[in-house]
Amino acid sequence: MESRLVPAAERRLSILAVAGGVVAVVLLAVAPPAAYPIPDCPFHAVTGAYCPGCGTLRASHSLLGGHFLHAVGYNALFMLLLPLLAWWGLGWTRAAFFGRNWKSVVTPRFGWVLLAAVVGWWLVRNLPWAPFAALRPVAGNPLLG
Amino acid sequence: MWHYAQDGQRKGPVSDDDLRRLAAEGSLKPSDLVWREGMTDWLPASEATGFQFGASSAAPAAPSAPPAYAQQPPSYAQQSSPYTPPSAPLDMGAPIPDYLPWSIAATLLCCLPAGIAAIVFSVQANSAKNAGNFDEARRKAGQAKTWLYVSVGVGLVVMLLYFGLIMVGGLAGEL
Repeated sequence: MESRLVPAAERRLSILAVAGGVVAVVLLAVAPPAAYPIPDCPFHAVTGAYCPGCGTLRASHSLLGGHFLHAVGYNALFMLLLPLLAWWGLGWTRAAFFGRNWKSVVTPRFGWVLLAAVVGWWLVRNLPWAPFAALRPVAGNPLLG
Repeated sequence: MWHYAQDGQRKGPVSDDDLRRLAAEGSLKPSDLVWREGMTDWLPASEATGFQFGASSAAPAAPSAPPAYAQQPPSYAQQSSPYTPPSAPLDMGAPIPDYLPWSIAATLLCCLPAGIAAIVFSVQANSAKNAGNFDEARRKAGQAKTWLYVSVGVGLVVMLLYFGLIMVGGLAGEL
């Protein structure tokens, strides 16, 4: 099958993914942000604008610390799509481990919705007016207050 | 969405309900080959669906000679591997990979703007696949894969350089 690894390689990849996920969760949950300050997103550092992914790392850290509203404040789209991303990740990992085929079960129409959401989110969180401040992962966002 | 084959021609996609209706009114014979995503091969409609089949207006659905099916040399029963692609004339080729989840994850977790390009191409690939336009879908999926690899590759390099700079800067600041 095109672009499909041999099952053994896929299984190793799935084990690696689980291990990496566990390490990431432990680091994000345990490491105090003061000890390991999360660096600025490179896109933001270079352009001064926020990318659709700006704030995901801080959002993950807040979520693991139990601060749900802060997590939403850092990246609302990421928090909205997190269940879908988790579902995809679990589905792929399970299928890869057991050597099965995996399908994302996303209809083409929903794919277009996702594309529009990502691009729209990119635009909207960079609008300079007041109500959109709540979408930016910085001080001034009321959710991060 | 179902695809079905009649007289050596691929038809569809049609919805579950539409295919059921085609079967009920006799337009789709139990022996006609059908396929939808997730199936490894084309199967006769009677095996794949369990629909009620009405009498065809032309001929009763007797198991005499399923023409389109029998004329094609490699019938599905003779294929050795369960992953052999569906045979001609229903040339699906290999399954078309779906890069959308990876593209979304790449874009949200690091890698603009190539990640966006990967999303665009994977969405187009899925649309083309759904419309039965498999060559187009394959091409778009290939482009999505390229952009996905570019975005993740560039993202990794940028991240490494960037974190390296920050660490070096931090050390320099402490000295």
